[in-house]
Amino acid sequence: MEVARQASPSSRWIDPATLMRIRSLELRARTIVEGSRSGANRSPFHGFSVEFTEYRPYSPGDDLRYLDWRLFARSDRYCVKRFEDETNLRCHVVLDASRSMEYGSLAYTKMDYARTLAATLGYFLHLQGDAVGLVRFAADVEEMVPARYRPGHLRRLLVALEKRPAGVETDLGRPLATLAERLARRGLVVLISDLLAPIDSLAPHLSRLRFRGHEVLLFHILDPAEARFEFDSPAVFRDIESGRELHVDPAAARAGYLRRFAEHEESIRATCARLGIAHRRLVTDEPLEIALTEFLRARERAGRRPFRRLRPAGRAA
Amino acid sequence: MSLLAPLYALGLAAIALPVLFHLARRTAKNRREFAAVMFLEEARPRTARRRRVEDRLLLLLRGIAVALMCVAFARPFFDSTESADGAASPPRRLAILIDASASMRRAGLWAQALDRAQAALDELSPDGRAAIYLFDDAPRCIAPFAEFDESHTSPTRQRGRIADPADDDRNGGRSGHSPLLALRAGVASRGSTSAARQALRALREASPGWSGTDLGAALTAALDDLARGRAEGSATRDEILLVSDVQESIRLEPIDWPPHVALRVAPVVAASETNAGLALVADSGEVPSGDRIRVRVTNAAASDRDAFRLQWHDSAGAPTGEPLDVHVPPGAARVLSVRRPPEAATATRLVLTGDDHDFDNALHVLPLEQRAWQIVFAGDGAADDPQRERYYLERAFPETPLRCVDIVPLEPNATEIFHGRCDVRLIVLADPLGDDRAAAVRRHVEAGGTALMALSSTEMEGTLRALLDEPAVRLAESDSADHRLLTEIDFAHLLLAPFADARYSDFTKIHFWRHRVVELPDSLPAHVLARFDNGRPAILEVPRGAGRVIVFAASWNPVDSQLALSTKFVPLLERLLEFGRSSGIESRQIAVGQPIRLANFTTDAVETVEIDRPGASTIRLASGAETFAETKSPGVYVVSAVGWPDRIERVAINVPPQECRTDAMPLERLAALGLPAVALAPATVGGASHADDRRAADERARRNAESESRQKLWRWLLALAVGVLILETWLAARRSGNATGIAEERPA
Repeated sequence: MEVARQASPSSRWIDPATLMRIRSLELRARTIVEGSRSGANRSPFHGFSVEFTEYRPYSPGDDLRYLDWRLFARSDRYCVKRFEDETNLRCHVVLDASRSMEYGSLAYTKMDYARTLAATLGYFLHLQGDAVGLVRFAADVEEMVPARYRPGHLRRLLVALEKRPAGVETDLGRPLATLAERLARRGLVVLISDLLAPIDSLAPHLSRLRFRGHEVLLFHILDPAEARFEFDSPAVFRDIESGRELHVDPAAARAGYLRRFAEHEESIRATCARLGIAHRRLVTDEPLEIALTEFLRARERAGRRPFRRLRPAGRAA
Repeated sequence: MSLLAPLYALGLAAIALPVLFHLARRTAKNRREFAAVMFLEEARPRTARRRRVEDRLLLLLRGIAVALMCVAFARPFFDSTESADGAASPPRRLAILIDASASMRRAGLWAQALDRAQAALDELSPDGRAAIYLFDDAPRCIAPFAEFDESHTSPTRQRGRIADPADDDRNGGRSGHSPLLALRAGVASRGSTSAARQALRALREASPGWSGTDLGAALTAALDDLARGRAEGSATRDEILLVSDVQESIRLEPIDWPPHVALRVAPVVAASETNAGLALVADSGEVPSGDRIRVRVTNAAASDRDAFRLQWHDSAGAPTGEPLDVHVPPGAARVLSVRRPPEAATATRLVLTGDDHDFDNALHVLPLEQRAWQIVFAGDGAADDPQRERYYLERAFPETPLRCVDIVPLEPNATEIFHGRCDVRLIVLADPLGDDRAAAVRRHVEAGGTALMALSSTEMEGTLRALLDEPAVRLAESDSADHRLLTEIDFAHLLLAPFADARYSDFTKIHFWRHRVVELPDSLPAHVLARFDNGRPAILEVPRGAGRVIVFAASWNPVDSQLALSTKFVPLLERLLEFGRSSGIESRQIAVGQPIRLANFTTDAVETVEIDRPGASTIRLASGAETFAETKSPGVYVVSAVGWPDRIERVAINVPPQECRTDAMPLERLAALGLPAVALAPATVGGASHADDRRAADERARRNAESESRQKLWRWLLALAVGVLILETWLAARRSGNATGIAEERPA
């Protein structure tokens, strides 16, 4: 992958190659999200749109405008016509800015990769006409740019991405709990993290997000050195976050490392599957455009789920 | 084992360098940052562990090498001359000055001072000598050097103790190991040196007095004694040990300090610093007049209290009047005006309470009493005749609370002018006298009295001759028709000094209508104080014996002059009154140590004077004693003339006000006054003095350098260091060889 370095700091993380690849795709929330603008995503509210959904028996108090007079003529019954309301997507890109993201065995770090991913996604959603927000977190939420769709918002997002990570250690639990409290309206939450923290603390918070109606996508960013552990000479391994030092002979430790790493990944995968979270592992030597394209295609193929919640007409926003 | 250049031993800290290098090397090697350490477990390669053991050995060798080099640079040597150190230095002479001023009466100070002196004596070497001085406002030597010398030759010596001499006698002859204070040795071993015995007893019985502190006099006395001994004997190390509370009010003039004498100060410190003092605010010797007295309450800077109470006590010691509360912050002084109690005649003591030290808490104040003075007048004029002199004299001296002037006529057949209890200040002669009366007046003058001759007529020529005992004296009436004025006034003379100021020096308003022309022979030492404008003497002073005769060439009756009507008359007579001899005691409010001046009290008529001291025996002084100096304790002293029941004077003696200031003086101030660098002696007085220390240290350094250059231990140490380094190199080479071997052995 080639991380594009452009002159303008606000757009340097947008990867044009990736954008070209995914231009023809759309990222749509599978679940129903609440938005303020009509768009490509389904809304929990029924209102004025072209897509008819159902009839409902009239009850006193219903707006007479929605009474289907033709049906009344046919069947002599008062029925109210209901339509599916379409809205824009409110997406929050939640970016792990802990110190461990600064690790990189390649020319760039995981953070660089994650930023490119976040910026590209944000730009993509913006083009799509959706509201995009950004949440940076380490031990707690460090910065939160609320989801908006307005001129200049994308630039604000990109500037926020520029900031150096100030956080030291990763704590997935607390930021997610904060986020669950602060995201009042349902939307899409894209979590980008290396997930180098015990997964046990992650599961309850992810499920809480899901429970509040958000759809969650999880991009698991990994460095090739972390994924494969191909060191050869013995060394003192210093934890980039805690400063803990370990004398390690990789030859001896490799098997144990890979086993534990696989267990960790498996538990993430299992948790995501259980909670209905789309999970994609991204190793930073994978080209981003391919990875992202595959991911979006796979989602499209999966199609819409027939899940919806209905509301009586007239109370639409 | 000693070090010639011990500062190089600081280089031992360099041992830390190999350790630091080692640690730095260890931590820098093969360090790798990693994010997913949570999946790692410690897996130490075996080879690294073995190398660390070898490193430790190398580390030790390198440390030893560095240490050896440092010690070699510090140039160690075996000290063989330490035991001979004491024998080489000349014998010490120690003068111990013990402060016995009033401020040493504070609780615990005296015992401390004795301990300090004792400790100094204890650490004196066998051939040392010591002298002990007590000083307050004057030094006194209670054990001079001579006695120590004498006993120093005693075959059996014993360590000195300030102890009971009787006890010493019982234990006499018991020999001790450390021969020391010759003072005690003299008493103990032989029991024969009465002077030493006395000195010992004096030190044991001595207690601080009530006087001020004159350190200068004490130091001078001790220096003189040391210098005297030095002139006689060989080289000695001279030293003065000052045992004192070194209060800030200590009296000390700059001293020309001899360079070979060292001064050490062993300060004694009171357990409690809260001390307030009470002192009278008045001119020296002056008895405060009026119903209020001004006192100064001082509080020491280190005090922890500021509330005190003043209370009058009568002569029996019972409180009288209302107490007065005073607040004086620490380090400050307040001047208060204290009202005398209604029973002013008996209240003689003002007592301050509330502080911890009461030596300076009582102020003795003389009760107010009116003193009766007499002017003996010899003249014909009646008291109510405005044409004559007496009329004006009577009106010139109004009664004041302190003084009552009585004008008494000279008795017609008086042969002696002494009017019992009364204080004859002045004899005024305005008319001719008979020869015997004139002789009586002359005797009075010769004994110190003052006679004023107002020459009202030329008939007084005979009297003047008799008074001056000079037949060549002539009087004549002046022939000038016009009035005369005073000129050439000698304002420098004590009698006319009050008029010296330009505001009062105008005598031109006084017209002299008539005056007498006085012709005195040149043999008489007469002094003309003023002249008339025709050049004739107007006022003359002729000394006679201890007294003087003042002659006015014109009287002050209205026929002669306007003098009595002028503003100069009363001040002039007042001045004459003061000028005249008092038969009382001059200063009646003095400090401990100041003498009572009896010169005027003991006239010819008084044979013996008795002085009643508070809490001590009464002293009788023979006539002629001019002063009484034994004012050693405060109180009201009563001076009475034996045989003259009414002639009683009181003198109030107080603790010197400067003793109240008990704050310790910074010892640097002593250096500022010309004393040598003052070493603050530690609690246990010991060690050599400063200058001697320096001398001895130089000597010791020279000897050490010699020993070191003889022994040359540094060479051996350097050789050893080189050996260790070679071993280290070999070991290191071997280790690195092993390490490569392991690396090769390990499968890729």
